[in-house]
Amino acid sequence: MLAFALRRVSQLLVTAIVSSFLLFVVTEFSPGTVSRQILGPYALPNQVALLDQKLGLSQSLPQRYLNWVSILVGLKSNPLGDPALGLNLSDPRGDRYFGNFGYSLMFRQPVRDVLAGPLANSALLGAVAMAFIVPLSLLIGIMAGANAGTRLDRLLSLGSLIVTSIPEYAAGVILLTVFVSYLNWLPGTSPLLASEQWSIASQLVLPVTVLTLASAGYVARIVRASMADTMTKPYVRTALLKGLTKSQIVTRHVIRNGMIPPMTVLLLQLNWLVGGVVVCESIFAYPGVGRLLLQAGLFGDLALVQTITLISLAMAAITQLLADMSYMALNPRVRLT
Amino acid sequence: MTTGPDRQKSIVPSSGSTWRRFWPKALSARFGICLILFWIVMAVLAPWLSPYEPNAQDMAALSDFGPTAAHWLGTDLLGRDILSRILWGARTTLVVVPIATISAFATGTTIGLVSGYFGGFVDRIISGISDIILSFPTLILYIVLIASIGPSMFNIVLAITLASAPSIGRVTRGLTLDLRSRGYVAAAEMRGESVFFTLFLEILPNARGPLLADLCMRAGLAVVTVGTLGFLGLGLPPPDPDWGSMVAENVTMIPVYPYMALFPGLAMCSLVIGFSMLADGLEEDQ
Repeated sequence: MLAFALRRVSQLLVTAIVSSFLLFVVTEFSPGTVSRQILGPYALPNQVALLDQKLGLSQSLPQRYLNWVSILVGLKSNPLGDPALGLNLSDPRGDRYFGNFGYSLMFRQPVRDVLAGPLANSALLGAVAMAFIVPLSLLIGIMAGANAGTRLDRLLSLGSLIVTSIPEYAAGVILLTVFVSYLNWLPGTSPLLASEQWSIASQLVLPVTVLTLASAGYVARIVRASMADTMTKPYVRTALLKGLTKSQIVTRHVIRNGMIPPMTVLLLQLNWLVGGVVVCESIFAYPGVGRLLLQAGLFGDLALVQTITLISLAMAAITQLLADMSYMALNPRVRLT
Repeated sequence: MTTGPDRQKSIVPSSGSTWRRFWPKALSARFGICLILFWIVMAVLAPWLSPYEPNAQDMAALSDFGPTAAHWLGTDLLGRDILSRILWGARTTLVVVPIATISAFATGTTIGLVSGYFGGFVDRIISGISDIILSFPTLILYIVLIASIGPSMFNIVLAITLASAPSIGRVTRGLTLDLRSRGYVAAAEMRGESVFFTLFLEILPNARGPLLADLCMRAGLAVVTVGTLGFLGLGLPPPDPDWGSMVAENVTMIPVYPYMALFPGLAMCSLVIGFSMLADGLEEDQ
């Protein structure tokens, strides 16, 4: 177990280094360079070149990647914060510390300060959505899988297929039309500011529903497949011949074994939520990281795009590791070689 | 799981006509095909069916946006006929989606066949690169890519190919690992056939069942992706209609004029559901 964990962690580190380099290459490839962005569209080419030199942007790509990582872990100070450049960028934590993500040029503030609020908001949205996705998908999946082949199973399976197929923004539009335009029960936007008419809780209802619809159907189908597969195992027949009722078999034998594959899928849904919140937050003007990433991408705010993507990569890597470990813990028969 | 007799069935041509062999048995697949065909017909006939030019503005409609006899599904805030824009938008979607899906599949099956057939070092390199691409959350990968290389039809196809080829490759690799030990592969090798022949004319056709279901699912996902990119403002540049950007343009008007965003949203739903049901039915048929 320990050796396996160590190997997975080292694999994780390699993946982290390579994917962060890939991210760096893709983002730095973009046409609007940092210097051009700071100086504006009317800057002369030699002015741009001069600033490039000062910021170390004229170096080779691997060299720049090393600089970027050094600034990130606090080995080097960020050249953008140098008062001599007159950019008016300053960081209350100083220019050299661990976890320095640089400055957001869109907000003219350190990335850390820009991100704090939206990250908390998105975490809230994700947590509430997971609180609905997990029980709902398990319930539907177990009901369909325990009755595999029946009309109930077909109904639930097709229902969850259709619900997952609906793109998030289309689901958002349909829900908005019904609950905001016709019924007027819920607010159309979710700025998370309590107003006289709409409480913060009411503003969360629609974004959470969109995420739950998009994800629960998918997980339910996986739970169903695993349950249906477990139902055909010999020990289920043995239990039936022993005289146990169907509900006893399902709750005592099938669920325990049938839940192993879906557990990892549920953990990986956390990773899906990271991308899923982008569309959801854009529909409802929810002040989270997803919408921020989109704004940053459209503006060309490299530091912000890189940081948010790095955070999501870290999330993805950690959930993948947790999924592998939980699979090992739940199913001792699987010893990866 | 396919057992002996089942596999025999797929090799021996069935007695029915060609039409019967390709017409899936599962009801959900038939329904899916009908939905997809409906939109293909709409897209092909858009120039004749749509009552207005997709970008033409009707100033008279600006006093009443709602569905009227002149504009069956109403107009948007610029007075453009929503029905015509949906029909022309079907064209955009149904051009980009097949190109992107085929490009992703060509790349994905090739790398999957190569890494499954050769194994060893080649396999480790390909799998390593795939793992790294797959470690990015998909939508974030799209945003980072499109924001860097700019939105255009070619770049959208490129992004979809890059993001989905690794997982298609994984599916193909698994199938290839299973099929390469078959007798007909050994026979082809013994005859001295080229690697290309063995991979694409011996192994690939025998993996077509699962791959076809995967293809339909990927096409559905590509519809969602194209729509989502359009919705996020990373799709094809305006003013030409595509469903995603039609929703985005009108989403703020929902409390007052919901149908402006609702109709393109519903069009998108029906096409995606068509592809998912086809994929689901094909999987069931196997």
